[in-house]
Amino acid sequence: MAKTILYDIHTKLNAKIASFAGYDMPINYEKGIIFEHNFTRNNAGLFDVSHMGQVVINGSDAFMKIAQVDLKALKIGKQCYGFFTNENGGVIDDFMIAKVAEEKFFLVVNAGCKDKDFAHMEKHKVDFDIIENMGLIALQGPLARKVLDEVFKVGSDMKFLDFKQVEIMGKKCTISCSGYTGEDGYEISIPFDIIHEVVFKLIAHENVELCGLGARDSLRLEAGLCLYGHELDNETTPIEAGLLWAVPKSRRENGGFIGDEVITNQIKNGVKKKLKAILPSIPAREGVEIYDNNGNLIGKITSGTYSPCLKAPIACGYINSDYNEETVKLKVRDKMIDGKITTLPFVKHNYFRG
Amino acid sequence: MKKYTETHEWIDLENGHIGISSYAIAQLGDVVFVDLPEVGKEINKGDEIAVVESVKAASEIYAPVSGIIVEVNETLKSAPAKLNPTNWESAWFVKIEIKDKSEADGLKNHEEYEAMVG
Repeated sequence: MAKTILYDIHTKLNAKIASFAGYDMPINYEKGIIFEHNFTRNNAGLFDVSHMGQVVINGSDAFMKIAQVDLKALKIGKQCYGFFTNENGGVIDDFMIAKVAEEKFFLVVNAGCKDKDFAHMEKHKVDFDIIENMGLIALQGPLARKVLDEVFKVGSDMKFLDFKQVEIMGKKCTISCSGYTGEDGYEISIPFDIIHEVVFKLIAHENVELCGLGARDSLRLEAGLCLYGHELDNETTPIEAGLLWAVPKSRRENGGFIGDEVITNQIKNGVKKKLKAILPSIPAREGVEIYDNNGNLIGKITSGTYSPCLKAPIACGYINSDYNEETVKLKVRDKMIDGKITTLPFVKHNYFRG
Repeated sequence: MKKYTETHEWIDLENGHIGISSYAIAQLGDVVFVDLPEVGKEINKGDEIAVVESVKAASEIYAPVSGIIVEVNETLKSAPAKLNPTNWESAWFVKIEIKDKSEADGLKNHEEYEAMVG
């Protein structure tokens, strides 16, 4: 099992460790998922996300043939969300990409998809360099901005989806104003030789707590953010996942990426299944079948958890798009329980847009 | 007297209460929901009798011995989060009428269980 550069900190702080995407990762620290979740919503949570793939992309043309992003239109110093699509319009992986300079980009991909992403990019002649000497941390929450300014004097001038190179402790780092919690916050790519000290300095701040993947998952689901392997996979298109907003107008009209015809067609003519937010009466997890009120199977849950903010179970899943009723039945173990359809996100986003 | 399974349930052979060990609850993390069976249900040793949900996952609780459910602990349904590893050992999920006490012969006593979980 692989370990991130910060693994020794996780074990020293008695994190519960579990394997995730080939890495031994902290699920939570001693105070538990609910504490970490609420702390991030009220203060600032610090997450080790060094397991994710960090890549420099040289040139936009080859990349834009395998992803829906418009790297020409993206401004230098801005980041956007995107995905690699397959011939059926399905998603190979989703990612964040930032424009560092003309024709130079910084890409972050899912840990569990790294190898296939790299092979895919190679096959399609994308010129890229994997970053092997930097870790990645996320500082998330309403006080992340204040903390980062107080500790390292960076970030206070950034708005949602801004990206820049900064100096932290005299070393070059990159920072984006984004994350995976629905909160204001940052993701910072930091050289291995100073990352421990950066983490120690941050967690010494009274408004910062280390948080694990458990809280990361409950936070992202409350925020209605898709997780690859759950809401997104090879068989599911971005349009079905409600990600039309992430397909720039230029790419909707002109296409030019793998699977563009399927996606354009779905934009015009609709989809068979659609991602829906559901409030189940008891926790309903991934794989739970969704039925209409007459007992017909109409879909499946892709993620389900307990929302510490709503103090109630939340879930999302795919439902046949012709289904218009406001309630569903969910088959949890041997029981049919009630579910109420609602809208994403479950907890409103708190991004800083200036 | 309490007897423990390798899957971390305990049964009190005197009163038929079934619960899970504090070790198990510490592994689960914050409990947010407990799903309990119907009173009157007949259960066989090894059957799933209850489910404990944390934020992250659902964990099944299995019957240490066969019997009939005669009572469920309703207080767990309304406020599961109040339970934590320190008081969990005394919190029971269900009370059963034990069919055959000899089914518990292969279970571990407290010392043996503690030795197993280390």
